[in-house]
Amino acid sequence: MIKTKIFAFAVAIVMMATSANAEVNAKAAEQFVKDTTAKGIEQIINADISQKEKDQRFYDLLNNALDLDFIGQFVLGRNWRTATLEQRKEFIAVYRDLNIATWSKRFNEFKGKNFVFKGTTPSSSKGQIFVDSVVPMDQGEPAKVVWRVREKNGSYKIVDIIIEGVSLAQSSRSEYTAFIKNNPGGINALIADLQAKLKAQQSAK
Amino acid sequence: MKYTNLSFAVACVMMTSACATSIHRTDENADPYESVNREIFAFNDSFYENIGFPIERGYRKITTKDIRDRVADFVANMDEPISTVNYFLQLRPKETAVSVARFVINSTLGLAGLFDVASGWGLEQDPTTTGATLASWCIADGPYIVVPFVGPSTPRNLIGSSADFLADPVYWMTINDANYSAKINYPYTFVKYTSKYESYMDLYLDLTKNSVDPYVTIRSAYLQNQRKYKCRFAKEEEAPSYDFDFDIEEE
Repeated sequence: MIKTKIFAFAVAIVMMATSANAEVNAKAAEQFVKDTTAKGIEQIINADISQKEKDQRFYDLLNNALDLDFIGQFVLGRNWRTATLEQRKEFIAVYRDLNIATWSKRFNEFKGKNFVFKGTTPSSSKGQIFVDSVVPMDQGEPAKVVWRVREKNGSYKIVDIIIEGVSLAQSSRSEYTAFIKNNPGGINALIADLQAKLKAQQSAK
Repeated sequence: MKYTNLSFAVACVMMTSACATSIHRTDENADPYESVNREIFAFNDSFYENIGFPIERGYRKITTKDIRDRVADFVANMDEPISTVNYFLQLRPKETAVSVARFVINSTLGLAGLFDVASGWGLEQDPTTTGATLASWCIADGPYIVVPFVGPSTPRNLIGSSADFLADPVYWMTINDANYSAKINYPYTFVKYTSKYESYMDLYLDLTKNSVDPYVTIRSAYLQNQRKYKCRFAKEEEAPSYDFDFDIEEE
């Protein structure tokens, strides 16, 4: 009986130690998102600089803060496995630019607003954590914005942004999977469509 | 404890499927009527583009942001009793009390609801609906449907939003007098939905503009948003509903 208890105790200690090892540093992850949003708001949105300079700063900030290679793989879902190396490269390139362009515009809409951070929530995915925040709006209830952060080798990257319960990565994944399924051109047609959208967005500036 | 077990058992008998499984469908079987839904989506899209959004743009042109905020606050306050009743039915006493307090404060100090004074005092706006109440009582949401003119829904939410529509206090205040109904209810309903859809317009255009399949984007956003509703009797995990796995190979 005592042996069983000692064994159970030992197992519990080992499990606790393992789970502690697997845990992401919540404070550091939250600080990383805080720094990223603060940079975006203070050094770009509110800064008195040209639009060209703003675009460049946004590109650098988002390119560093978002793990677009990782997100790009996720959004292609099972199609990633069947894609050729060339297709993967082309897809990631256009997905990166399109996302940065879209996000620059979205960030701009946060002019005069602030993120209020509300701590973190654990994730069941390895090395990931959710950083919770709200954005008080001029009118009505505040918007809930949750950041999925991934830790790898001590550095942090944002891999998803969940606004009011809607995950951008999951939405893109559904969208791209449906497009590839319904389109005889498959991944190549998807890449061409995204390239056209990026071009339209760049020429609209 | 006995009471909880009993109510759980009664609820299980009443809603057999809900207790065994989630009230939400998986992505794969959420949309069995996709081809019909896509046609209605295309019709709605053209309706918004040609009629709905021009009205919203006109509304923005003839009003200032301050006026639109006052209208939105007024409409939100008129709808507050619907939230109160629903929070009560969801057995959420704290939220029910906040909702009552909001209505009393905003209807008086907020000049008949034109100003959301309560939010400034920490009683933040957090509306709820009959659809959310039905979900809390474990009514499954059913298949995804696109309703003409209205947009994405599910059978449960369609019943819920119809109940919310009919529960509108202005509708009941004017129901016995055709003259008042025409003069107050119809214009109010028009202003109410113009105000409500004004905030949706930008979101809709933003979501669909860069999408390679706008139908799927809107469906995905709607269904993900619905997953925040939990059945009060189901032993679902506490983890957030968006906790999906990035099951991809590491490079």
